[in-house]
Amino acid sequence: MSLVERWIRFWDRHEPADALAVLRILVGAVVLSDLAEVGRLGLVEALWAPIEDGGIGPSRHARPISLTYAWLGASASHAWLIYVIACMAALAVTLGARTRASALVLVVAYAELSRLSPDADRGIDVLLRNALLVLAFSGAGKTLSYDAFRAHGHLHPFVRVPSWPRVFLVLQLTVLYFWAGILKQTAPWTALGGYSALFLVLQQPHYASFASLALSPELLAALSPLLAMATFVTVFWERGALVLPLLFYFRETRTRTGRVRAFVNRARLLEIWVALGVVFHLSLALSLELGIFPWGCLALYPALARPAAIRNVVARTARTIRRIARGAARARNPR
Amino acid sequence: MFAAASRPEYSTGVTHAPSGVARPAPRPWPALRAALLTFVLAVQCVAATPAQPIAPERFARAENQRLVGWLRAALAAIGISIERPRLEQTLIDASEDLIALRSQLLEPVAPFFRYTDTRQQWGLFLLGSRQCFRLHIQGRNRDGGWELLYRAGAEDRLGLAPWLRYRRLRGIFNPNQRGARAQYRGFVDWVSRRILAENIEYDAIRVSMERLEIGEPGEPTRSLGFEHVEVRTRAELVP
Repeated sequence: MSLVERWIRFWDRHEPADALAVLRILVGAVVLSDLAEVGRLGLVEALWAPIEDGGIGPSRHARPISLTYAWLGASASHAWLIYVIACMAALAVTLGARTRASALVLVVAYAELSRLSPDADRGIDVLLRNALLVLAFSGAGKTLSYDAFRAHGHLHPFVRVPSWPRVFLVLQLTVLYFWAGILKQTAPWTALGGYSALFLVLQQPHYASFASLALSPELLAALSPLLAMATFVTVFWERGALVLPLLFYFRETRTRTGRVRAFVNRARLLEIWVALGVVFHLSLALSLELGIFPWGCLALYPALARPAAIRNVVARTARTIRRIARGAARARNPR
Repeated sequence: MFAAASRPEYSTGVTHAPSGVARPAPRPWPALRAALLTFVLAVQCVAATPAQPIAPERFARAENQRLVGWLRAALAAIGISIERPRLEQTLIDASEDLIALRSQLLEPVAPFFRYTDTRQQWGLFLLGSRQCFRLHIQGRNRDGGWELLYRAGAEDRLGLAPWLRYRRLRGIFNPNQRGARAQYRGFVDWVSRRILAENIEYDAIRVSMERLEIGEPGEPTRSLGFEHVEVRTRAELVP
């Protein structure tokens, strides 16, 4: 078989839709929770309305930078319109209702919000938009979704979908972490600054959680060697993402021969990398106030799992929910 | 509601209808899809290359001096001797050429990146510098004295923390390496208006950024003074 044929076959592989469906649910839920937080805090107009309407967004007299403002005019009500569309699309993506269209609408609405307040749009928002674009062209809505319920009469049909979107998301994680690691060149992230970055972050008033800020200087000093080690591991782990596609490929082709492949799979290097990532993001969520950043990154991790493993987890979870529901029903009605 | 099934993990060459019944894929589609995906991958790879040329002042930093030193040593190992200033200029020129090439290559797909606001530039979680900022908000009372209303991570007399600790607002007021953000003044207007509307005892609001230098382990954090100081009076904000 020629190289071109192998390349075509590689992108034509199919797999159970469960991994992409779980990804879709997690990504949609993270975006929805963030938009809901904006609504709860009453910041919709503050973040996206024109300055003349009490917002921090672009002036009504400025050249329109968003399509909505260019077509409909700049006003607080149009900022609300984009926000509501984004919320509805995020909910639809999470539920898997008209998944492709919902994901595309969400990308456009999310991008519109970004243009209205560029400084309020962070790296994690870009990452989630990238992921939503991939999911829009995937079969992520074919199971665990309202779309599946309409087509099959139940939520969890067995459907096989192209696996390339999951490969794309693995490559996205690779680029994300590798560049984040490479750009950590300032002294505190290197031996020149004694790997003091995490020690310093925990004292930055805009980012450290109240719990971190309450740590006494003595305790922080005592913890500093541990934090230096954590800084080193963080940089090593992020730069190590460069080999992620190779580890992923070895795991996907584990039935083939080869010493390196056998060693990588036996040593569970991919699983170790993933475990370090989970620990890193959960530690950030506990010690710093980074909003959806840790959760948005973790939402993409199911791309690294085997689709069959995800399907088993989903099936087990469904069985457990059914057992609990039956138990609750029996408790309510003992007869 | 849930249907369990166990089937092989991967298959190739066929697509499946929602009912699970296999049907032969049209032959040109896998090849066309592979070509499209290859194109998307190539575009994203170009988009992932640096978007800014090397700024000359960057070579003054210790970590970059070290990198240039390593590069000189590597070149010397293969018999190429080059003076440090010339190597630095060569790197700057090369980076400018690469950025120009990158822009040319991405020009046809620029509208896609613009309308979806997607990119592949990932400077994530680059915190960890020794110097940082702390937001201060003060209100001027009837006696003309300034009262501290909010100090990030410490003082919060008016319950502003839920807003000011939200990531999107922080992205607007927290200065970056180039200084105050473009939307900082709009933020000052907004927060001042909000405080003055609910607190009639103040007639002006002062928002400032205290530059801090975090000490070595066991050393205290030092204040290096206030920057980006903005004052808004009630008369200015009321239309």
